[in-house]
Amino acid sequence: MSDLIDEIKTLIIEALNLEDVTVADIDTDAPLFVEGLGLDSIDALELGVALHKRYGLTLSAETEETRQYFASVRRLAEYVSAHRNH
Amino acid sequence: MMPPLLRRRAYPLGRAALEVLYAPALAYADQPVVFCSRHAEIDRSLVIQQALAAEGPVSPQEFSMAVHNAIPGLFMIAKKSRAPVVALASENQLALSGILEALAQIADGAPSVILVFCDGPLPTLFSPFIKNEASCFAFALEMTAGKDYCLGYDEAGTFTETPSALSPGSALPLLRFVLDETRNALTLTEMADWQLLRLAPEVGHA
Repeated sequence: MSDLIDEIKTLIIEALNLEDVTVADIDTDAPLFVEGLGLDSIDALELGVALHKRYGLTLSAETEETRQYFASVRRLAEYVSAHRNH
Repeated sequence: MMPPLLRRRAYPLGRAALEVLYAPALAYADQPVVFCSRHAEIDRSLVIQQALAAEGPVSPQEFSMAVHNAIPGLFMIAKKSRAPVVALASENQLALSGILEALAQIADGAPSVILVFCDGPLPTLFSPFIKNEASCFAFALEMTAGKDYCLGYDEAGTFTETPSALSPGSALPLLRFVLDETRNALTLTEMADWQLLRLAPEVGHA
């Protein structure tokens, strides 16, 4: 799981052009949006596209379920690990 | 300095424009902004079209910035300013278009207007269609009401200065003119009917 967590952190940094942010800077359990990393709704969409391309995941927008998966890198890694198609 | 979370959304050309907007000398104070660029971040549209052609889903981040007013919009968000923004595009009358817009806003009561000009080379895909390539530049001017310059129109096109100094697609001649106090006129159109004239200082003017 820790490899996947680092992989997802790298994906976030690359997909969202996070300048001067390293894998070590991202707190695995901190919120990704608004607080924590401070990402916004456009980033959520961008991340959705990146997760689709990388893992074949399709996340439906604006559901409570999706919000939970996007709560932190750890939650995202758990979701990817359970649902990935490639 | 622009917060990194906003800055990451800009391409190099947008960053150049933001750099001049953030220049200490400009000391931006909520003035209206007139953003003038032939194509702005045109390479972004190409990235989107190529993604559409190749794989389907396009980047929401790219799409959200693929409008002509994206860069001044980013600046206004960072500055939390609600001042008006106008984004203009023009091939070879960029300087004139920007000056006319700023003049109109001043005539309408704005005490000061910030003009931003920027452009860069087109992506190489477009090279067969390019006549006059722009180099990458960005500069900002503040316009206030005063007696240093005026805009001149001569329908007959009898202005003496030839339009050879015109560089289509680029507003750089405007910057050179403003900086070169030995010149008294800048031709703004190929017809040579519009000129920006530098007025002589008034005698006794403080």
